[in-house]
Amino acid sequence: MPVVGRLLNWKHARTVIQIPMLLIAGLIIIDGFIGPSSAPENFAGVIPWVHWRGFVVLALLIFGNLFCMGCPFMLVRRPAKWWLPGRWNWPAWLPGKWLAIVLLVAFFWAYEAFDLWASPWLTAWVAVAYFAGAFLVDGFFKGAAFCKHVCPIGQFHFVNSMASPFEVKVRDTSTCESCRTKDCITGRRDSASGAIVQSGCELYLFQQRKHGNLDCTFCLDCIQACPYDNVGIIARNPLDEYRRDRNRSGIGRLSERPDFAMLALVLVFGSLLNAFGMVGPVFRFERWLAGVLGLQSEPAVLGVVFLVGLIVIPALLVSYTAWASRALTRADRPLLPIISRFSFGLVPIGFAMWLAHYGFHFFTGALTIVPVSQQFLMDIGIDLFGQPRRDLAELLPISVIDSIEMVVLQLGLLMTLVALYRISRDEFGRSRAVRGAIPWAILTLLIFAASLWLMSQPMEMRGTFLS
Amino acid sequence: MLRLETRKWRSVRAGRFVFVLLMLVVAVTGACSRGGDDDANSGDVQVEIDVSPDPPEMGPAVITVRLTDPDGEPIDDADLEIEGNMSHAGMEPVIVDAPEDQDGRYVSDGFQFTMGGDWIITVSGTLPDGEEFERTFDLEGVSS
Repeated sequence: MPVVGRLLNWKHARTVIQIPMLLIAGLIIIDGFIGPSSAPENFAGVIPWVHWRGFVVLALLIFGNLFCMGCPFMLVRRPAKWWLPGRWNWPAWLPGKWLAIVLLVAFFWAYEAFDLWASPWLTAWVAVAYFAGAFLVDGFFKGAAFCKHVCPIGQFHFVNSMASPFEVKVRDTSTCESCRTKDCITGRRDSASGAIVQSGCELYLFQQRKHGNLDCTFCLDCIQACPYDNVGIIARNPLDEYRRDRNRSGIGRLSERPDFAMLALVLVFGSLLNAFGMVGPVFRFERWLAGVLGLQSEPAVLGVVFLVGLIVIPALLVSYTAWASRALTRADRPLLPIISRFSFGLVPIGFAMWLAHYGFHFFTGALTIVPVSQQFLMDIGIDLFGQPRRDLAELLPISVIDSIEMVVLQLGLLMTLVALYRISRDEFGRSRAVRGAIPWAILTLLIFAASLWLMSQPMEMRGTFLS
Repeated sequence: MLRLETRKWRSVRAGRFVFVLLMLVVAVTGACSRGGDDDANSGDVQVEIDVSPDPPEMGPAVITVRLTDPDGEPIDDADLEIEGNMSHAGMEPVIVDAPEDQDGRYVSDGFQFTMGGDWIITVSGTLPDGEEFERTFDLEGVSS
């Protein structure tokens, strides 16, 4: 890409993308604190929960991890690295993704328990907490510790970008083989002073052995550090993610990363639970559950729902499925590596559900940004755009959105089945590939059926169910 | 030694920066406001609403508004509009007129809950003397 490629090689390319995002984040924080408490009238109610989530899934679908690339929270890293030590190693007792998984589950729970979508004030605090978290974590720890081990949003991007059509990768591997400096990982140094003038990958993904999109923030550091212009954002077949259990730089083999697998499962089943929280039957179920458990507190009831729905049920389902897969193929392998590999095969159907859900909110409400902006400008004394057009909301009619959702879910199903077959062929061999994949295909069909059922339910966007 | 002191000074500056930032957030939160968050019965006009069916459910609904002055006397001849918004952003609001039915009682014309969930009902209008008012009511749990 002649123009885009040159732009991405520019040292300040990422900053140029981040600055508008920073301004939008500032707008969300300011309006969240001082604006109307009603979410539909407040930038903090509209931008994050309608537009940002919609753009994230659309960007993942048609491009890749664009929103980590433009992440405004990363702009505070530079002063953090300057002011704070920034040299500590990430604690060994918090390895891999476990902390991020806890935070992700906590975020999904908090979203429902405290009705974040309905509270601009709380949404603003989430944004402030994000800036403070990025500042402190990256201020004290080496590299991009916040992105790699902490950020729940980043983990969402990493896992779902497995389904994306673009990847940051090497153009010509022979160039890397003859390269002696490995600037893409060590950083480029000034030849005179020896000082680093361009960072290498701070998530420790060495391009020569990097495979796939996991843990890649599209930060452009490796692209700009490579002296041979041999790293780029390159189109690919997303199903290549499932080709062989390769030793991925900075990650290792997926079969040996149960933390990554758990993360993938939390996001796959989270796609169902997040949508489950907005349909009518859920409130009857939660009231029933509160009665059975004798609980009066909604956060406590939701805590049980999320713990069971995101951890216990997925763990039981994939354990049983992996056991069945192993029994059918008579393979002599422990269950954990089988679970770890096949869990990633479920990512496309999970991503399809996120896409359907967030796409629904985006296409039904994208134009609400117009009246909110008009009202905001009027309130600060700029009366250029007339009375707020409160009749504006949907970008597409509901019937069209419903059809798109069905297509998306079916494509997710298809992609998942192909991915599972590829994994099975690699794990159990060509002759046993179908038998090994059958239990996982059944699990996929269950997830697909649950997705269809959820999308067909009447929506009921409630913040309370016990009152 | 110099390096250690420099590092310590940077840490102190970072701490100050975070502290000042948080104080700024707290100050801004407390000091400013935009938009009309208001009590239903603050000001000169008292506003009450009834929603039918009760409990509310998705579909057509009738919202009855009673306007009274501080002495409890009904206010006639006001020009009223009712707006329904979901608590979740991104849904098209329902905006209808509410013509007067009888002594200070105004009834919505063609209102409907387009989706189950929590709603915010906003009653806005102009009194006979030209005074404008706006009141909001939270309506939780419209069933689908």
